[in-house]
Amino acid sequence: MQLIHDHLLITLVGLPVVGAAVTLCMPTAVVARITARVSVAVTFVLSLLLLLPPVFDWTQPGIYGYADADTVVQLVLRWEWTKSLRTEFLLGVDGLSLPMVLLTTLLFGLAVLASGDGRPPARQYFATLLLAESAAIGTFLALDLLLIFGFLQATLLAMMALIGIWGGDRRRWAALKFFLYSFVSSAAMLVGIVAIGWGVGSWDVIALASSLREIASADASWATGVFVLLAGAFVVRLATMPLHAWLPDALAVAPTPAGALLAGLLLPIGGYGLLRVVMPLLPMQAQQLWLSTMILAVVSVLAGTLCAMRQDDLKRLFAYHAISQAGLILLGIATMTPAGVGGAVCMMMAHGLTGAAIVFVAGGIEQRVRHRRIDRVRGLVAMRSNDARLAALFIFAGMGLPGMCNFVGMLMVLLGVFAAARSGPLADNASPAVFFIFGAIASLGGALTAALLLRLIQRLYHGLPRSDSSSADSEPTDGIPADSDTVESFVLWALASLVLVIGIMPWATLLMFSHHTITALVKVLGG
Amino acid sequence: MTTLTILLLITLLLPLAGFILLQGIGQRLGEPLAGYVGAGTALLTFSVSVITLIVWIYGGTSWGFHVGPYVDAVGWLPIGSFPGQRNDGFLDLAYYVDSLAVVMIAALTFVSAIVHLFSIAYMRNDPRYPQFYAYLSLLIFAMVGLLLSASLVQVLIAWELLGLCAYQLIGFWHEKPRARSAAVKTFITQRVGDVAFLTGMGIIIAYMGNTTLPDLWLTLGDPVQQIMSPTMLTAVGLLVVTGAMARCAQFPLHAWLHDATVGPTPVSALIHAATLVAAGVFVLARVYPILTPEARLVIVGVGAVSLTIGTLCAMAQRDLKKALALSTISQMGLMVLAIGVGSWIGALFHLLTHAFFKSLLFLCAGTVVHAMSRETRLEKYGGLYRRLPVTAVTFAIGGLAISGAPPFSGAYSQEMILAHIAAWCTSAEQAGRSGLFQAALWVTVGAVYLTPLYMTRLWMLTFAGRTRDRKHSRRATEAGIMSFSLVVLSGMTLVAGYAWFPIQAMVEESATETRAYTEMARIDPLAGTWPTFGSPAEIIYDGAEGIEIRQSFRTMAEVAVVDGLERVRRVTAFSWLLGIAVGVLIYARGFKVTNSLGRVPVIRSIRVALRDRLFFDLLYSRLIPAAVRAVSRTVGVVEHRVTDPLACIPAGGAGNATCIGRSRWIAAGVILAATLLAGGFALQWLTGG
Repeated sequence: MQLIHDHLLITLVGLPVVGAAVTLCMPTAVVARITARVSVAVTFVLSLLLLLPPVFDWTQPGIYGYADADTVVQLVLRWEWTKSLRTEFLLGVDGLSLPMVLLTTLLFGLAVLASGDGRPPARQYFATLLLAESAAIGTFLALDLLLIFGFLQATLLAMMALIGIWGGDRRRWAALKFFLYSFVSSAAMLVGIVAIGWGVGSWDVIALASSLREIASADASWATGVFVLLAGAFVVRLATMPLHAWLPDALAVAPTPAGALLAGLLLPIGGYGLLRVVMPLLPMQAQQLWLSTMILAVVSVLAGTLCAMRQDDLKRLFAYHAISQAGLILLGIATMTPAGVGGAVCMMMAHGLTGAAIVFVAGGIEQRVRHRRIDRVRGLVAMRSNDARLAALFIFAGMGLPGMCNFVGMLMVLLGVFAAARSGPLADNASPAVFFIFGAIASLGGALTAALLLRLIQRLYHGLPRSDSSSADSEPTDGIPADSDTVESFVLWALASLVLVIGIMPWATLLMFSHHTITALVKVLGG
Repeated sequence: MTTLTILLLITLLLPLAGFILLQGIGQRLGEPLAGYVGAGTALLTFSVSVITLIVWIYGGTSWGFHVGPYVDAVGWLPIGSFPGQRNDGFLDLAYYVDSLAVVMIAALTFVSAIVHLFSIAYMRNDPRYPQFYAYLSLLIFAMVGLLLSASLVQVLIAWELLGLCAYQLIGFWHEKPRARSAAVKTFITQRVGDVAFLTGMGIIIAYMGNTTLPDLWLTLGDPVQQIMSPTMLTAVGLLVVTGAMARCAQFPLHAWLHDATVGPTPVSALIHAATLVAAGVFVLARVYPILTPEARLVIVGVGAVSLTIGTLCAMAQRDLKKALALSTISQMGLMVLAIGVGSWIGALFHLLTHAFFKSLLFLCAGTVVHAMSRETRLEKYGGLYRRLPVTAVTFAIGGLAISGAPPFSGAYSQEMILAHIAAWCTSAEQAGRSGLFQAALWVTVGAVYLTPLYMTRLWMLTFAGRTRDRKHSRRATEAGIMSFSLVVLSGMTLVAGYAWFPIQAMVEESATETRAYTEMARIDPLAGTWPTFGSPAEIIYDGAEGIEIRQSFRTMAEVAVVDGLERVRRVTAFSWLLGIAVGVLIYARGFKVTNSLGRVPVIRSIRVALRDRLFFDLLYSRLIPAAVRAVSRTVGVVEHRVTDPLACIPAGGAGNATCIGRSRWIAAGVILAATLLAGGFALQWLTGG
């Protein structure tokens, strides 16, 4: 047991790297795919160990945590790194990172599984995927500011490679746009991080939460500047309006598995960063800037759906839908209430599952009809009714129908907004009516999303099938195609069962593990 | 686990099991078998609910008929603690089982079992036959869930599931464009109602931290605690009620109901009678104690307007099913109005009797439509009495019940509502308010006069007279299983209203129990008329003065009710006969009389306006979608012209092409810098810097 305690986290980060190296040495693409699959499968199984009470016990306080709240971080791994900069190789897992790590290993597992043997340089493709997995896991486990930054940059570079090398039409432009947004946001983040690290002399996210407070209150303008830089950087990852323009292009051209990762993982990374770094470090600034954050979030919820209504490209439509969901994540975080933050965590998980699933569905359609134009598809339900039923399940989940996880997330976020009127740190900032109006406008997004997605279901699946869309077995034109119908159904069934299980029992499957962390976090935020 | 919980769980989960089974292997079961599975599940659910009813009547130690409600709550979502919260930081899912819920479940599962049976014949040879049964089962699950639920969150969940089923069933023949748009319209109208409901619920949570009904009644219904200002309470009440209004198709959220008739007719029977619309009135009754007098006045207004619109428009419809749907709007308006004036018992009693006779009417329409090869226009009918005798008789029974003809169930519930409205007007008069209040009474009485007229019109144009379309009606026959369903339902329509049948007594008991929770102490003549009607209620108020006020008040209200009943009986005892007589006279020769009347310009324009349902469809099918599209276009332009090119700003370029050109160099530089940075760190680490 001690062995697991000491080495689980570093194994989770390191195993995919080893897998990538082995994959690169394999003689053929087919063998490389097998090693890649083994690697992600082992990583996923190892990450499941975190759910076992002897490894990560959610009922017990952790061994490390915020100064004036319950300790929450477990399995801490601390190595000295650079002495002059006083940075550390610091990993740990708490209720915030646990669901994210599991989501990462699951989605990468499914992405590798769904990546077929379509293209010759498949070895490099799988190696890049595995490196991205390692970096993403590292981002969620790291507790040192520079380490988080480094892992995040590695994730972004790997994703950019996936888009730019293995993407479809206009992949260069999409990769460039992705890069520009990543670059500007990373530069801002680096400036913010360095400003904090040099000012305080520590890079430990948990310890900084208390030691930064005096400095931040002494120099308010400095703190506001740092907050804007860091929050802006993570909001770009969250892709809320108006910092979203990288997502539709990237999602549209990325190969389907990478697209699923973009929608399902990169967006939650933004929300995670806000909750891990920005909010606990600078809670006073977050309280001061609550109004603009909330306005951004609500605009994103509504405008994302409105923009999606005008899209003819299936994947771009889903990208804008993802933007509106990301708005809900931001809204939940901005409320700084237990319900809102819990809702944001739930929403990150929910969007990770349904967002990825919806992209897989879109990829499946693209592969069969050889294009993504919604106006040229009709009556798909006649083609394969089982797939259509699963697709409808995810689309209904995206609409926030009860029984599926997005409903829980949406409900908690909205209740968080209302709750912020009377409890939590924001209650004194404005009259309750302001929060009630915010809540009402945000829930209006539910009606708009329903209009968008019901129309979509009808345009795609209902009506009589077009004669030219029934050419089911034709060769796909671009992208990494799904392996086969069995693999695709397996991927969709796996995601569907999780969507339903979390939607029906949100406490036992998700919120239970995060409960203490969210409580401690809200306490740090001033609730 | 008591016997009761086990029985209720079975009632709840059997339809869900049916749904899962039919979704999973429905296609493999094939046509007749999937239907038998669906109908079997429904019948089994009904039998269990009857056992539940019997168990309930004999009662346990702490729950049962004449004992008390069964309440239970479990924590579901952690939402943090609130000031004054009764639980430990969790949002609860709760069950509140009272006589009303038990009797409603029995009635609902009865109607649904009949509809399942009916559909075996109606949906014959449909390619998606198993799917149909799957969604019917899910509909029953959602509805039973709603009837058991005792927290607003659960109400929302059940409503959304009902909306999903309604969407799937109304749009069941999705090859028809009209079915698709009707399904979307239905779902979106419900969602708009949910936006309001969610807002109201959110405000309640902000103040109380929970939404279970007993908590709500105790805290918000109590004027002494005053946890929110009266204006806020009125607003919350109206917001919550708006969600219910979208369900029971009340003005201005009513326009989906008549469009929804494009779905298969058994679905209309279920949605328009026993499930979706009933869900609205049921929730209205459950949240009644938190409604302020001002909120209730608004509800009275909404109910009166819907009642009028529905009745008038039903007079002019050319489509049998649309006319019945509009009649549902008017009947729901009557119930909503009843809730508004405080006739809790009357509204729910009428809801139950209405569930029987309206589903009977819709299933009769279904037989006609089925026999006439899916034709729904009245001008193609006529003279069907000879071809469809059972349908003609049962339709007449349903029509008499909805018209308030004495031996049938509708008469009892309608009379109760009318008496309560009359009493409400009297007490308003005594309190010095009048004028507006009297109007509600006259609207209702007017509608009661008109209901037999339009029902007679429908019967005459469908069954009497000469045959207008020989080609179709020659082949018209009624299937045995359909006739059986109709006969069984008309039997229920006959007996449901009688005092020896437990329905009325159980509704009354629920009213007393709900009142016991709340104390409704507002000193307002409009508030005081609530559930005391007809039931000898004990006084539970503190303070001698309070008791005195309430007692005098109650006596006053009871006198007013008795007086109102007498007044109403004088009118309604024969009004239905008058309506039928006029109807027979006008429609004895088919459309002849009305068509010649319609040549008068004024009457013609009124007729067109009513036929097009006062042009509300225009608003909902054209104007609002167009407005949303326009906003979406504007946002899209802003997105395309302003936000998207933001990507180029860091590159210093204007257009996309130059942007790429210049940024390539910048990109290279950045990658170089990042590599150097990473390398530097690595080097420093290796050397142990």
